Amino acid sequence: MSNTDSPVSRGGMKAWLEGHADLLQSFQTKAGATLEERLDKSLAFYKVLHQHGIAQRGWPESVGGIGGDALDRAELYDAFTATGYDMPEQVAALEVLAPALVKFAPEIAARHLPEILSGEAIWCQGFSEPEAGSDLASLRATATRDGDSWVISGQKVWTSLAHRAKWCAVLARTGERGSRHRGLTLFWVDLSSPGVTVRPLDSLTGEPEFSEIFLDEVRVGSDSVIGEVDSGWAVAMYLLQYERGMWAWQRQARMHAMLEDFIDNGSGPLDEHADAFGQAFTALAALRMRSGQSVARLSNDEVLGPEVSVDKIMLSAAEQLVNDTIVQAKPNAFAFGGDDSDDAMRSEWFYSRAASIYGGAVEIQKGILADRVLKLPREAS
Amino acid sequence: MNAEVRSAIRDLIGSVDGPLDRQELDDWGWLELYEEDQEIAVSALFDELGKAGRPSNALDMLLAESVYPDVEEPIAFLHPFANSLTSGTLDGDSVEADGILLKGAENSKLFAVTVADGETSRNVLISSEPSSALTTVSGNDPQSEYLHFATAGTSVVRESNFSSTYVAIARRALAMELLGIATSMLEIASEHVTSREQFGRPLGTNQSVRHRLADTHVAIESARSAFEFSWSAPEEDFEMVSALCKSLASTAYQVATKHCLQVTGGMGFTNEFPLGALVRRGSILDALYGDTRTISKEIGNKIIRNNIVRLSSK
Repeated sequence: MSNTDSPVSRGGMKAWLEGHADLLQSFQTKAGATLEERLDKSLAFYKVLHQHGIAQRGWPESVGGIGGDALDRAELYDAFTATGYDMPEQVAALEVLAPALVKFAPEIAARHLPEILSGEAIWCQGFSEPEAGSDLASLRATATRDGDSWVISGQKVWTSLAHRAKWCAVLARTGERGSRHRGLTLFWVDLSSPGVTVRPLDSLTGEPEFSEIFLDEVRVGSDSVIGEVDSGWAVAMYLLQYERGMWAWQRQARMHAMLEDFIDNGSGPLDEHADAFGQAFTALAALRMRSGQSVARLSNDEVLGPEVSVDKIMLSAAEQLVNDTIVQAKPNAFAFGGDDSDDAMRSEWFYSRAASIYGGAVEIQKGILADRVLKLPREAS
Repeated sequence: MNAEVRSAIRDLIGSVDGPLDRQELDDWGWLELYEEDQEIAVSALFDELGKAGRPSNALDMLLAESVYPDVEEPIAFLHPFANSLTSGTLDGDSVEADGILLKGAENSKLFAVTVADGETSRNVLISSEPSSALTTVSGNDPQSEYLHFATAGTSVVRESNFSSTYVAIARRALAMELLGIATSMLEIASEHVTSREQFGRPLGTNQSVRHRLADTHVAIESARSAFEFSWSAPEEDFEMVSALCKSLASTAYQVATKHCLQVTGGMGFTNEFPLGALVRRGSILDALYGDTRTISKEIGNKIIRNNIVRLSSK
């Protein structure tokens, strides 16, 4: 850690980034950067932030952090996009997986968290399968015990950044066929293991962000189990709070920057779009207030429960509305434009269509609210 | 403390027929509670009034505390018609007033009027014998017994030091009341679809019905989060946050109206069923100090000129 930096107190993150603008100059957002360029930049950015004790903020010392909590991490993520940096690509999986590792597999966390915080690694989440999207509990990847190891076979899909990830949290079936959520275990898998094949998907965004992962008798040690055998569902439920709560915070940080940039640089007067921008900002501000409250509760070790489905639904609505509003203010650029910034606008718009699908489709979220919050009668089959 | 306060307020509401007036609230001790904890006082009172669909002039009481805290006499606030934030014009010392009074205001002799002042507005007190200037507003909710007050050539008795932030205070309180209304509507609809059966099963087993009510819950919780956030918002963000509160609550009310009327079908469509009264009551709260469309335009114009602010809590 750099000796020239004194600790940053809570509330001081934005000022720190602004004060170190020269040091971090090369990491500023550049229009037209490809996914690979952004990934390289994200890793290099975190390397420098780690050298200055910033990347470690909000993680326990026992796992390579410098203390603090989810609110400190949230402050950092917000500060990134408020000072001209893209949200680093690896922090999405970091926030989804690391809290669960800290809680259920502290040894794995201690061994691996330093690497991702110092920009040496990317992680990914291997949950969905071609036949198990919304119905995750029906997943078919198997993990069979073989002495002191487990042998994993199956196929995962829609795995973000798997093509560059070192490690993957793979949810596999250790119980009998038909055991649904009761027979699942979460494993920490080295993607450089024999038997692993990663194949990028050709999604609507035009970037190879998502991949399929083929696991052909991949061998992992018994120390790669996260939590207990057959209790993977409980780990997944814990992790979903971060996937739905903290991710919403990270996305609002990105969208505020998008709106800020658009209003600053958007070509032409926006008066005729005032109503639309007012609505978009209202949805975005509501998301910020709500997800900020959820993150505060996470930092208090509170369980968010089924109410976090509200956050996920608000996220998908806000993200789609912000993107629709921007695109509808520049219809020529969207439909006919050929600049890098036009490509980026289109890619963002398509990505926003996935906001209501990933992490539990909104149809599922509404079902959760109907069952567990409103306590309505169960859906007829 | 919150649960006890709410229970006591529900008892008060239950013990009185018709609109609650300022005297009843004052006797109950609401002003003392407000002095002790503004957040609990405002959220409990306006939420429970909304849930019960009960009119009152609690809003005037709250505004008087904020704008004219040292005036003992009851003040009736002249509220603007929809699509306006002023209820009068000022020419020298002479006020021409035209706006809406809440039931209970007829007991006042002092009226607080919001007049335009260049780009902003300010609030002034006028003195008037009300009976000559009052007519009843029936409109969409005769039960609220609103009054229309119009007068001209009255002198300003007193100016407030307050800026248009009093609008922000009004918006936040009205947002809470609208949320109470929407919450009651959702409870009624949920109960209905749980008990009412067709095709041999409750209406609520149908996915479209469940999803409509889930959407209503999301709209309500979205607004509730903003309301809770508002109490820790720094001073400079309060005007924006309270506009967001009203806008989100207005949306929650409109979404609740749409879905709850739909899923309660023919039964919900009668005056006997409790939903219609809440729809009517909510509509006039929606019309005060800006509904979602009005505020969206206001916020939109602000952000395209000044860029956006990332809201923070203190």
